[in-house]
Amino acid sequence: MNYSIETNDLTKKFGPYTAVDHINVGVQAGEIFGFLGANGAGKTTAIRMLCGLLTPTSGSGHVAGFDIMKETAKIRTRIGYMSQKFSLYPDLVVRDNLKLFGSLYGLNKRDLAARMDEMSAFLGLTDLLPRITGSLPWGWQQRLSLACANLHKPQILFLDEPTGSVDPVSRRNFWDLIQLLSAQGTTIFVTTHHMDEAEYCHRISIMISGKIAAMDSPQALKKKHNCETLLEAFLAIVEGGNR
Amino acid sequence: MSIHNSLGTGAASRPGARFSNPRIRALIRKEVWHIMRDWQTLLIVLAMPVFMMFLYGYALDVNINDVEVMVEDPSPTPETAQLIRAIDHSSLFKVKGVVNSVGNPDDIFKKRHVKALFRLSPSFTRDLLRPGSPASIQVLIDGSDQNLGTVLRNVTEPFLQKTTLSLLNVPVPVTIDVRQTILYNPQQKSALYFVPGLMVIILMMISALLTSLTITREKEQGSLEQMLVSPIRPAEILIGKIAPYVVLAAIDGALILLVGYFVFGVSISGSLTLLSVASLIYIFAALSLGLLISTISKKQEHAMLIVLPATVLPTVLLSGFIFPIASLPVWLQLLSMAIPATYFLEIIRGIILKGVGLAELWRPMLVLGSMGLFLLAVSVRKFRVKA
Amino acid sequence: MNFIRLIVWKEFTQIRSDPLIIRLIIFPVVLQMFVLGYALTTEVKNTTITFLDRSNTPESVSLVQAIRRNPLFAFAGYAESESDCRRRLDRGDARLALIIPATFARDLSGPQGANVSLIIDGQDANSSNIASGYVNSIITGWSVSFLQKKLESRGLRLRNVLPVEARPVILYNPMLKSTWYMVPALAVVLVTMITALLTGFSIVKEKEAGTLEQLMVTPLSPVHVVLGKIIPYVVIGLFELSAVLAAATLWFGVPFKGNFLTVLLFGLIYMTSSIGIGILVSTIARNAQQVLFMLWFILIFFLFLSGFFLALENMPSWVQKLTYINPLRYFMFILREMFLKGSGFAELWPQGLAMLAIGGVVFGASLLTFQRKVS
Repeated sequence: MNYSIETNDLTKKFGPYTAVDHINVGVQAGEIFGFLGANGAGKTTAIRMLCGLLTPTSGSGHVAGFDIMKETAKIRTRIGYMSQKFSLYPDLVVRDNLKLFGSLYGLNKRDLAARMDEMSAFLGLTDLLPRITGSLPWGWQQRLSLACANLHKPQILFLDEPTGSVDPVSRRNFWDLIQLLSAQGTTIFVTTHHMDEAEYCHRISIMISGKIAAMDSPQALKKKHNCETLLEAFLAIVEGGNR
Repeated sequence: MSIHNSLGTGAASRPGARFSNPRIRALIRKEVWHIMRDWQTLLIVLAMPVFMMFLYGYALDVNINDVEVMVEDPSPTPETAQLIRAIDHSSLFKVKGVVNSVGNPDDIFKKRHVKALFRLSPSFTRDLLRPGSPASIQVLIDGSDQNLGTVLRNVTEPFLQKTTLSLLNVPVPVTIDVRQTILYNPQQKSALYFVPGLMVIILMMISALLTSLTITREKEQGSLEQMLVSPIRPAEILIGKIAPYVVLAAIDGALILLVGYFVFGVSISGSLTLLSVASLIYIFAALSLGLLISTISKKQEHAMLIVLPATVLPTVLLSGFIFPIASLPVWLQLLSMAIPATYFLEIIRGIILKGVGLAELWRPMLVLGSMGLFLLAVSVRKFRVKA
Repeated sequence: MNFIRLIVWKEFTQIRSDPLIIRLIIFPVVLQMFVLGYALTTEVKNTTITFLDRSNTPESVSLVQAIRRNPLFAFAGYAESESDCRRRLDRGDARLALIIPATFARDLSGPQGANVSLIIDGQDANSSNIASGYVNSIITGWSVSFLQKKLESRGLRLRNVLPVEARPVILYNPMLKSTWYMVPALAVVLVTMITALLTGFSIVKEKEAGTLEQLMVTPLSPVHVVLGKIIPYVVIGLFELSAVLAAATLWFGVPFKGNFLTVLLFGLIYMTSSIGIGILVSTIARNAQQVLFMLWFILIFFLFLSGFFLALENMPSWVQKLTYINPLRYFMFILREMFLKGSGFAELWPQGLAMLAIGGVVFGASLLTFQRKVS
């Protein structure tokens, strides 16, 4: 089976502290894979290793078929990354941010213009193009981040707590877009601690202190723990893990 | 128009809005925690004065000696050799080379980097030994460095006269002997000169620079706004933010005085109490200046680019620490009267070096205090409007 | 190459979108240029001096006049007694006091010569040294002319009595103006401050905002980021250097005898160090405040040991050895030599080579730490 993302005992230690402890995941192309866990459970560390921002201490992993230890340069052209912090240039106008990141991913002028039109129409950003990025409301900044991460049609999109403090309506819209991208074949790897977001995922894994405590579809997890909601299932797993 | 109008005057508009010690204490604790966490900055703040003292202590030597010169001696004789040796052995000069002919003197100055070139005339020895006709030496001086150039222009001729006279065993005619008494710093120890100067600079840096930066940073991060919407009064916020820096500045001041005393032997001839009081007044003025800058700037870069030319540079350059105020052009002398450092330097030099007291120093202390009050009033006004 | 161009475009767009930063790049530099251009004078002028003339003879009055007429001194009144002299110095009304004893005129013609006392306010060792040196040379000059008159009255000429005749000729700065020496060096200080600070801030800001991380997940390599970030500041630095040099010649009237393109080339070499330091500091620092403090710390160290206002020749030899690693020292030397002496590559290549070596090490180290820190 060819996985889009695959890890083997992936581990990251910071001194004596193990942030990510031998995790094994396999994500298929087009899948929306949710990474759940409390704050500090190691979600962000894991995602940063997969994106090539951190070097693993041990274990191995492949993203889009490339080794995360050796082939980070190749991986970078095939992924998009959206961090939990808004990290575009607030002092540039929206168009300049799109232009910058599109070009950084190697789009030529014509493709870039086409993709910018396409993405801004898709995300409803067209009217905002000449605005200073920092002056946009939160929800729109998140959309712009998504647009920037998606201009080059990445095979895999890494989203690190993408809707941190966005209102419910914006969050809903955001997830509609994510599902659309997934339907078009983009693999989505997302970390979150919002249960309503987890419901959108095809599969979720629950992380406790660096280890994966459970991994299945939301329905299966609810069934397995005899719960009505995902939140109850999550709490059951977390308490089971801490015991 | 907001509840923050209550700063200073309208306390009645908010019931129970007295200064609250626990609240201020909490703010101070937060600020101290910030400072401790940023240990790199703390280290620099504490190490910088000590480091600068050692730099000054060893790098600063105001006496000019062993100036490198070259001699052109077209017709060497025992007499010229004797003269050259005498020049080389003097404390003033050091002969880097003797040549028969220099060709183009320009090349000597460009390539050998000597400060002066003595060109003995071809008939030097003959003229020297024949009375009534002075032997001629042309002295070429590199005037690029005005200071050195002036000294060389003034001392070279008397030096050569004296040297040749004693070579000829002729007693040097004395007309006036100038007996010098140096007051306040008789050994001309450079430490006595830079310890007060460093106090002035370091206290200004910590008080004005650090406060303006931390306040601007909180503004950038939005945490200042967070505090302004809480029941804490703006004045309390300011006190809470500033108090730790007053302590930090005081520690640095003490550090300078201690290192000055134990390493460089600088003792304070005047009153230590008066010195502490004056330092606190100066810190207060500098903090107010820092506050004012932080109310003007929105970003840290802006604060920094304002604070450097507005505080540190004038403190170093216009206070009279390095360059005597009297030597400045009039418009800069006026400017130097507008900066707190000038007055503090006068006070601190008076106390440490001259040992004078309040009777002589009340005037600069009054000016310093009024400056602080004025700056504080302006910045509180601005702060309130912004809030 | 394409990537670098993008980052350069991004930096310029950001700088352009912040009108305040542009004003702050230009205004303080102009301000500093003018204030410092005038303030950085090593001349000691207008030194206040008081006199206690106990002799009150034509000779003593003539000596006092000789000093009072000299523009380097400002007359601060006559003192009435020695304790009055002391009081005037204590209060800061005078920095020097000259006491002429009652026997002055008589002693002058005696075999031992006359005595005068000079009391010096030694608070500022440097300027008091220079000022008392001036007094001494005025007194020497006065006594030589006094001797001359005495000899002339006996039908002799001083010229025939003294063994040598030494004619000083001042080269390169014939009027001995300190601005000629200080302003070219000031250019180095300003260029260093602007390039190191701006590069340092621009990197640490991206680190704080998380945009650096966003750049690192793109196919961009750390080298691209650094080079792209540097180019705008090199351009600003070169522009600044030219502007300061123009002001030096046009406003301060410092003669420029060198070749402008050579200056720019040396400036380019120099900036590898100043910008390299900015990058190095910003990779170590966590926030803009730390960048400022570290840079300020380094800059002070370099300034002291550059020969900017303290002559290197006077320093102890171990301190002098320390100055060999200081890039400021070389660039300052180069600019001063080029300005006043018109030296060029032929004379200054060793300094250029030293700067290149230091720049290479600093820049290489900064690239390495940057690469290690971000990935």
